[in-house]
Amino acid sequence: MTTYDLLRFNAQLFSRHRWRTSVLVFCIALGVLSVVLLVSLGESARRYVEQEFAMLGSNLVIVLPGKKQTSGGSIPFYGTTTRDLTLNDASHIAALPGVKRVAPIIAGTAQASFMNRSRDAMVIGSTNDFIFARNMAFSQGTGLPDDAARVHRQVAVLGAGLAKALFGHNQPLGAMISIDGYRFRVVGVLQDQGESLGLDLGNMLLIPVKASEAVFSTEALFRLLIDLNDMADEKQVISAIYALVKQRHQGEEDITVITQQSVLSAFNNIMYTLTAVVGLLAAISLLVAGILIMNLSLVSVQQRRQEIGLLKAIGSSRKLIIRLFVAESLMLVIAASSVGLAVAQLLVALLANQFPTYPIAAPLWAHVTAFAVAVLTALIFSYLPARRAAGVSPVEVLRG
Amino acid sequence: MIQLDGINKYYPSGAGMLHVLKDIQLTIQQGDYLSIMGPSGSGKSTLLNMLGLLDTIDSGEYTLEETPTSQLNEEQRASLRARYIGFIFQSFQLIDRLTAFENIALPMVLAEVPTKTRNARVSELLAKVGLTERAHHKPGQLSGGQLQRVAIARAIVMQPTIILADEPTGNLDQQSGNDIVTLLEALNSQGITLVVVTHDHALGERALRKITMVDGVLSQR
Repeated sequence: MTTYDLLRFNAQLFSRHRWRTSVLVFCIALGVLSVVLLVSLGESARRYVEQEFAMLGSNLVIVLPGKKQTSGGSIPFYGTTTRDLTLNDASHIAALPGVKRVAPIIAGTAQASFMNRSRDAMVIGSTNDFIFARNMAFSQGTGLPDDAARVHRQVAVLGAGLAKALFGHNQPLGAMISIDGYRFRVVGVLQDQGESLGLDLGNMLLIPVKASEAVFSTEALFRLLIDLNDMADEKQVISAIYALVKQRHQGEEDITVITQQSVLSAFNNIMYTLTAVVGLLAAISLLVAGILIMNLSLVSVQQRRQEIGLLKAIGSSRKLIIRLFVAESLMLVIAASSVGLAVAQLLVALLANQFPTYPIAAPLWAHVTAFAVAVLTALIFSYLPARRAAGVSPVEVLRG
Repeated sequence: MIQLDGINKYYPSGAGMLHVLKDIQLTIQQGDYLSIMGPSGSGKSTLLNMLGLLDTIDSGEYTLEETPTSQLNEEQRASLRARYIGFIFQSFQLIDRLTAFENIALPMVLAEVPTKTRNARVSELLAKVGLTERAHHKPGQLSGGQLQRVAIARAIVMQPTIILADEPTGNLDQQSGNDIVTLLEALNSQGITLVVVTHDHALGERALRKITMVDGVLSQR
């Protein structure tokens, strides 16, 4: 039987058994759709985080107060520290070779108000180096003064959303706002950049780190963002930071230094594993579809025993019978997978359209894998019914 | 030509092995018209199945068109069947979802005969069995006599040398039965060997050679 005739023969069968065919197509399409969609979402989440980290620059090192410790199990805990990380520590670190700039950060929430409008805002006390490190841009005005780490100047840069909330259509530049009772002059407004690594930049208020010590009544830094020179040896600089802080903190190595690459790499590993696990779980639905293929094929063999007997009587070989039944499953799976892939592509496009800031896309490998798994499932699960069909004895079924 | 030499066939049964064909000796020449009659369970259907290579033999030798068949595997037997033998069954054995045209063409489809040749041959046979107008009807839309004519057309579409007919008129009224027999005899007169298994005494008597099977033993009149 030629391939064309085989396809036609099976197509007539599908047309005759529309309900059975529809159930199979639906189940397989759903399996393929789940695999592609879940893998796409996992992969999109990974890309999103990667993109967010990329915004921080590639030579970023983060210093956290407190020592990262492990205690018995595999879960790391951040220990407490008796000694704070301070602006003095930051200025000494800034003088180390290989360090390009250091952005000290004090963070907290405070109420910002202008005339009769007020809003709770995330207040970041830092320097212009923070603006460089986070690749921020201004829509109006300038950044913080250059001496933000040394002099208590009450000036502020507003996030786009906060500026709109407090000032509406009025001009914010030069206006005086109140931050928990302290009066600050607005010197700049950031461009609307949405959220970055969970930080709502639109609702942020950036003030000189020296001024933030007064606002939050603390000298303890939340963390340091350190930008290294392009040619700097990252390991050497980190060792130097540890040594310097140890010396300044009376022999206590009470900081944790992490690099952007190590965080990104760890995150990537987690996301790849998560995506694979989610994909695998979705693939179970394909396995279920495979069992359905086998069961319905066995029913089909039972119902078509006379037809199989006849085909054998008029010259069909065992091989051809096997080919007919395997091809039947393959045709269904290819059609159903195509439907599943098309719907998945459509849904991914809709999601990408709905959430344009997220890098949502269905990777090619997800399509290929889902299709290949579906085809493999069809081959495996249709072989047993096909063999059973090939074993039908024409003598028994054609009698009478 | 068909040559049967000392054929024996056994089937397992509750009380051991049942000897259903006992030392069968038979020669069927090209163009013979042969009827096999006998009571139920006498072994006549088993003999027909064996002649059609649908069933195997336990001892002896069956030679079909100079090919000894006892050592052939299933694929080789299928190939010989397709080449030399046409089957006609009591219950027609047509595929419901296919039209009369498609049912007749089926052996040619299996044999990968080109579509053009196939269509010409099927159209010719539809005319021969008087069903040109019913070519695109499905079995559910045809009468018993028409169904058997479709089955006959399918049996001869590959131009076999032998037609094996198992109770070809068993499910037909007398008029349709007579028409079918006339059609089969016409094919026989064109040189096709015709072997008919039947309970119908009148039909059996029309054959030129008459064989009776009783309890697995063959006797010729």
